[in-house]
Amino acid sequence: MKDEFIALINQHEGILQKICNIYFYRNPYKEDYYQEILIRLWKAYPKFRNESAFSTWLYRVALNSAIDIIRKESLQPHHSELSRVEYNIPESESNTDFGQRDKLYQSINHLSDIEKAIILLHLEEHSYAEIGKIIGISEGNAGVKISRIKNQIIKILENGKH
Amino acid sequence: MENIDLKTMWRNAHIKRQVKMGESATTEEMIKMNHCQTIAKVISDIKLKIISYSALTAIDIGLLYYALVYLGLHLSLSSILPLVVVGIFLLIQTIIEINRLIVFKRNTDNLSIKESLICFRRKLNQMKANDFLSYLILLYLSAIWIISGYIRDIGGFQNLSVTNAMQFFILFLILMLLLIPWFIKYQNNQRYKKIDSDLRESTKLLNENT
Repeated sequence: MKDEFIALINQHEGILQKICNIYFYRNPYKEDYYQEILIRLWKAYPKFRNESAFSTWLYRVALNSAIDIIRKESLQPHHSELSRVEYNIPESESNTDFGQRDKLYQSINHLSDIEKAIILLHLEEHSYAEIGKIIGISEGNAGVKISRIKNQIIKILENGKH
Repeated sequence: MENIDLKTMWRNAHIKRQVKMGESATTEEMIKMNHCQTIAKVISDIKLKIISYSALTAIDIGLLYYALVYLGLHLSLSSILPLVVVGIFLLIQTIIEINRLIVFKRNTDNLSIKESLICFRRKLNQMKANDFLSYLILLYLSAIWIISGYIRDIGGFQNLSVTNAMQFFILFLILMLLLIPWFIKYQNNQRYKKIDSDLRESTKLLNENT
């Protein structure tokens, strides 16, 4: 089972990286949280019953884990937003001169945790039905929310603000 | 606005520059662990607090038992009050840390994101309610115990006197004990304000039909 899991993870590694980039954008613990998501995927793997594609299951568990980590992080008594200096972000990256990738991640970073999950699934070419199933909403509702979130991102990309 | 195609942007952004993560350990090494370093540190800190508080509580209860039961001493309330107050504080802290550990250890990764949100919200509210109830029950019981102990010490209600300084101290202590649970409730609401509002917003977003 372990070898099978490792092979599947190696095959879908990009998904985990994208989830970490979206949820832990500029977070110094990004690498550590990547490990936590991987550990939680392994713990949840015995419950994977091939009823859906492995990638669909992986998205659901990994997204839940990422959101849960953020929530638990904010339960910490001395939790506070760290500044750029504490995050050790190089000066060049903190300038407005971002690459396309950074601009996109930065605009997605303005969204709520649930909105981030919805737009990631959409950008990763999942159907409305699949998105609805992973998130727990109806297909129609998923479509409406995607359109709203896309407009929100485009507005941020164009104006550089909410 | 329509000129921006997010899907194409997303695809182009991920053609190159995929910085590999988790290079410090292989997948096999990672899954042998129970948690990542950061989460493991948080959990071990909570466990350490639980062990320390419960050990100190046991020592406190042991001292009281030794004096009152084993030696059979008939001590006045004022002489054992400090030990009792410290014991109550330690017991409450132990319960609170256990509640926190439960929240940290449980997860609902196999459910849909909406169901996980509902579960987490329920757990958080339960944790807040447990914190409040621990304080409420223990402090109110202590207040009753202190009042009855003091009345017994002075030989009945008829001996209550407005000129006695000790009575003012006891009255002040009782008032504090009665007010602390409500202060803790207010403090918890302030502490979890941000996460509460995020969870409320997310629930609202997921419950919207259009």
